[in-house]
Amino acid sequence: MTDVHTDNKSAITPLRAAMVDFEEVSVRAELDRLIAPDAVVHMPHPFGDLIGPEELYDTCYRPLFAAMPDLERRDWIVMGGQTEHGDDWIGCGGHYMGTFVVPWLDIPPTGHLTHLRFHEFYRFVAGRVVEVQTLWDIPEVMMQADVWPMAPSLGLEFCIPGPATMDGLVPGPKDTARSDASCQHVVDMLNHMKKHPSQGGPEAMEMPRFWHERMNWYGPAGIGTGRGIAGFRNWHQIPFLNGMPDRGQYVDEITYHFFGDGDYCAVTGWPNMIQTVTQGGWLGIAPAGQRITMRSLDFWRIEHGKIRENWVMVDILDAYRQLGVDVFARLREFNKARPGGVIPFPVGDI
Amino acid sequence: MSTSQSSTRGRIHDENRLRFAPLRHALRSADAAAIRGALQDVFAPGAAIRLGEPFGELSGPDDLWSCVYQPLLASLPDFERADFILMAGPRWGGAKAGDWVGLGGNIIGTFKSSWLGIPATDAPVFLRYHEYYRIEAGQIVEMEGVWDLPQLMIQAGAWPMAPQPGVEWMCPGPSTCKGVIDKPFDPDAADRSVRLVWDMLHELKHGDVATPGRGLGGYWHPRAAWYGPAGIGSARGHAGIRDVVLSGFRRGLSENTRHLDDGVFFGDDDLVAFTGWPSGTARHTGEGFLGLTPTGETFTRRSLDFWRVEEGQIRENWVLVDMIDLYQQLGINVFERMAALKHKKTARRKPKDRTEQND
Repeated sequence: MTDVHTDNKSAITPLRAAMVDFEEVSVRAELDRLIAPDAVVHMPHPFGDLIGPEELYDTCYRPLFAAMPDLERRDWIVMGGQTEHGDDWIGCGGHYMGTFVVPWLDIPPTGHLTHLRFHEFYRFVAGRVVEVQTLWDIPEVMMQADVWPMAPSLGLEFCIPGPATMDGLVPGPKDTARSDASCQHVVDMLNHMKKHPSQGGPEAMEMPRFWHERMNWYGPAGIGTGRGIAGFRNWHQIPFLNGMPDRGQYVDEITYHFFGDGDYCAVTGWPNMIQTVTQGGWLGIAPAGQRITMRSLDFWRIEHGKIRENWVMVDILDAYRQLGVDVFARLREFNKARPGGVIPFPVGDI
Repeated sequence: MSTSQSSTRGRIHDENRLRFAPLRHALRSADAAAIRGALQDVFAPGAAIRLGEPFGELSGPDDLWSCVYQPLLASLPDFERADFILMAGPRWGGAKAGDWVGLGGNIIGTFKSSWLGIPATDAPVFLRYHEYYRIEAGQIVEMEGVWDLPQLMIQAGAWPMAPQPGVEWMCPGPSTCKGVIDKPFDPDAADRSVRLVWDMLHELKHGDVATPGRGLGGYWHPRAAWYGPAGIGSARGHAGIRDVVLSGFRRGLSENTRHLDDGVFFGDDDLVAFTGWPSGTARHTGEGFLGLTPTGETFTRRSLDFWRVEEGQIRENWVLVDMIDLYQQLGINVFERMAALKHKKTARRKPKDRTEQND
């Protein structure tokens, strides 16, 4: 007996397999097979919104494959489920990896193995993808190239691991009761989290009720990772709420897509946060009262009734864009004093 | 002004330079009593002292000792000040009065314990200073200075703001090795030097986004060095100064003015000094300035500059700006963000203190 989510995971498997040993012909063929020609493909800044598989390949994958000729995709989370709106989504988390030898988005190559985290969400109708919401952690590549032109992260920057339990490729058949419980746990957690600061201090979030004391919060490059409630609070949440205390006040203007699968929960939304930068403290940004939207595409893993891991990706470059800073322009300013060019591949003698 | 009057006036500046000898000597000694005594000898009791953020306004030598030098000595117990510029002259321009002395150099010492919340490195560090002093009746009655605290944060791995486009280093003194002037004050040479800088600054202000390098050609030596504050860094040559310094200012700021008439210019031989408190005003309207999101805020800046003139062109320029005050005006508390960043590094370095990060 099968179910639509297990079928959808199967439908995306050939594309994932083609990207493990990335080649243009096979990847194009699998993208065409999977993604409807008129599908809306939301990609992170600077790619913007694209239509259909060809534009996705030409705009995003072609330059990435040129930059990393031995490109490889590794998934550590593949999960699927239905949202409260009745939409069926598949969420994939993992890394693109390769030897970075050709400038990509004006980021100078490192000549070394380089990783780029992805969180990719695919909405299916009748076995085909009709909408994509994807974040690639482009600042992570800038940091590996040592050219991140903005303020340093408070959290740890590293190659973020997949689930500690190594069971992120959630197998079918779908365990609906368990999936719903995982999703409900996260929704309850977020409802409590939004009570702070508008309805009370940090205790209003009741974090120990929802989070494992040794949880890892894997934030996007630019924010970094924190461990434990204190790590999450100090390296991410405190400065985040200091800068934008009206977080969670405009929920009627955005749409969340939550779904659970086994011990995992995911959310996507384009955007799914709105807040106003009224104070200093977040990312070292000068506050000017700008109201910005954010795209946060997240995964959670539940262990014994508490969140043990949380993978968070935010389109930081799009947030900077809305605040009036073109991070790529600043990168190019620095590039004036850097050697440019292409590193021959393979790198060095064989 | 007759020659004899001119040389009499000039002797004041020769004497003023010499007046700093005991203090300069004491500031190389790391001896608390010697430093404190030398400060008391040369400062008027109620001298107005402005050292920028986070020191604020101080009054007299006892304040300067207890708020600045005493804690510095506690953190850098072997510190010394290596002066690379000592100059003196009358305030330049028309009927403006006042006799000034300028000091520039690097504080060097072993950073043994945290200072101003900046985490110690247990290694030698350097910290540039630019200071101007007004002398009346043989005493310092007014002092303005900027110490490059962000430079210390960078060495401590605690600079919490965006990286700088220019080079970060302990910038050298004048390449002539003649920045500590000891020859008789020459009013004509001083006037020639100041006039060049004055004319250059008036040309510089006409530059805009389309002409970021305006003011460089004709005034600056093709291989001129610009030694900027930490947060901006140093640059060399017209293209370097344009790309590292001027283009960011032109794109990010509008209505950018220097208070040339209100500020204090003085020259001594081939060196020129300019200060104002503030020394300039600008509106932060565009991107490109320090990597900051544009705030639309109007802010002032405190900067103290030295220039060295060589054969009619500017060959070197030392610039310090109170960057922490500037960030403060744009809504960013650099010390707070540094504390958060430092917290992380301390937590990483000292596992025993893990509990301190919980709040």
